[in-house]
Amino acid sequence: MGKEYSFFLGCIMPNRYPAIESTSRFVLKELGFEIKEMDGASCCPAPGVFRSFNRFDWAVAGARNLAIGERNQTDILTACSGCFGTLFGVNHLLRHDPEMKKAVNAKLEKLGYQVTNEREVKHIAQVLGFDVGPRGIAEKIKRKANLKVAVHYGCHFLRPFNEKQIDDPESPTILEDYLEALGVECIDYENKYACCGAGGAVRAGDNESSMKMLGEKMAAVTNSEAEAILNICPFCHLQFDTGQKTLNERYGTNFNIPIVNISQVTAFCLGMDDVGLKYNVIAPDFKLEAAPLE
Amino acid sequence: MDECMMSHIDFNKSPEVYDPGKKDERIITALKDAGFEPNACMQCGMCTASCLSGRWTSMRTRQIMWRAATGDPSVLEDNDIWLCTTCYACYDRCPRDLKVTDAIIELRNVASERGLIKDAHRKTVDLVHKYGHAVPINDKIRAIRKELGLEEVPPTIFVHKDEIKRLAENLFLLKPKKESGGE
Repeated sequence: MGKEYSFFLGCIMPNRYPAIESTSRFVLKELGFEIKEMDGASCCPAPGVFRSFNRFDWAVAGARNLAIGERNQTDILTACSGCFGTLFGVNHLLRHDPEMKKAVNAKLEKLGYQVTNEREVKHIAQVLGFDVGPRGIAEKIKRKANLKVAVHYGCHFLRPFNEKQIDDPESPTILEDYLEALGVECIDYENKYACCGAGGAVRAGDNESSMKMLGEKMAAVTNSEAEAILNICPFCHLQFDTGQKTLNERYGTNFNIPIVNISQVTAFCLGMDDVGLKYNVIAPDFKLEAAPLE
Repeated sequence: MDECMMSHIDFNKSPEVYDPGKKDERIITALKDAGFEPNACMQCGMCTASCLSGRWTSMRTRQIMWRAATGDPSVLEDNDIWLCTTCYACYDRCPRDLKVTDAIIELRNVASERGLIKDAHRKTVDLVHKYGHAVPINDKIRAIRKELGLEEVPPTIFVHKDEIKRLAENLFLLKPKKESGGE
């Protein structure tokens, strides 16, 4: 390994769930990746919100962040599916639309940047699931996690498929294969591939609808054997974690499912004891349980 | 006119009929820009069937696409275009490979051009203009970051006030609110 990445932090990970950031950094270091900071990086900006208001400005702000990674002379890595949606999306758009790229660079000049789109944008789940892979991680872990989870893929990691081409969004296996190597059992549940309800500016713009979509998903998980929801996106993490509290307050439900990010469970298996689950709003007492390596 | 009226039904007002004279070409262009060829949509309803939001809201993707494809400007003032979570299920499943989700985003862009944006969304833009982040840091998180051994403030645009200002002056300068609709 030894590959270098510019680590794009985004907003929700560093500013709401910093434990996802600290565990991600720990995991990347343990696996031999070099991390460069993205000095001056802004909000990605969010693909459902800002792209809806002004798609061109969204592309400019996204390209500005890409340019910071390019200045570091590395590929760009994100731990958030929303940031992945924007950064991968803008990179893809500008690679395929030279006129748009020209216009974006013209505006970027005012901000003091230029973009070439010669670097790749990767999601941490893709790096763990494919580049490191189940066999690679099996060689590195110090212990397994005794845990049954409902895997939540979210949306922008795999969709739109014609752009991402990572795994089949209708029946992916990348996360299950990886988690199996950590000893984590993935439980099938209804609506497994459904959205968490947060994206597309819906959580901010129409919270009630957002919560109803979440409620359907939470009911399905609660009715399954899963002990936790395993996610790969801080925004999904936030929606599941704080959203359960909102649902319980608003509708009198008793949802209480711990939320675990892929970096947190990976860090645990690599030897980190406190992976920051105590900072979750829901089930802060939940602790991961170790299982010996076979 | 009166002979078309039953006791409680007005056959002069079919919900699917609009005045073709009011066709809004900007909407048609927006769809095409997004990769949604209006005439290629066969109204099969795969999008509506795939829509998670539509299971809980009034959003009916097929109807939005029909109204947009026929240039019906009322679609821009309809809250339903803001109920899409951009999950891309409809986009990936469309049998005609039409970029449905991107088309909805583009319709929102036209709405935005005309000042039709919710207050909650304007606040999100304000945050980026002020902090460079849509979700800024707070004291509680600063403390947790220190506990976790991270830098108290993430090494992002937060510490470059001049860059935040430059962003705010150049990007996402929203049209003022239109008096009717949008909410």
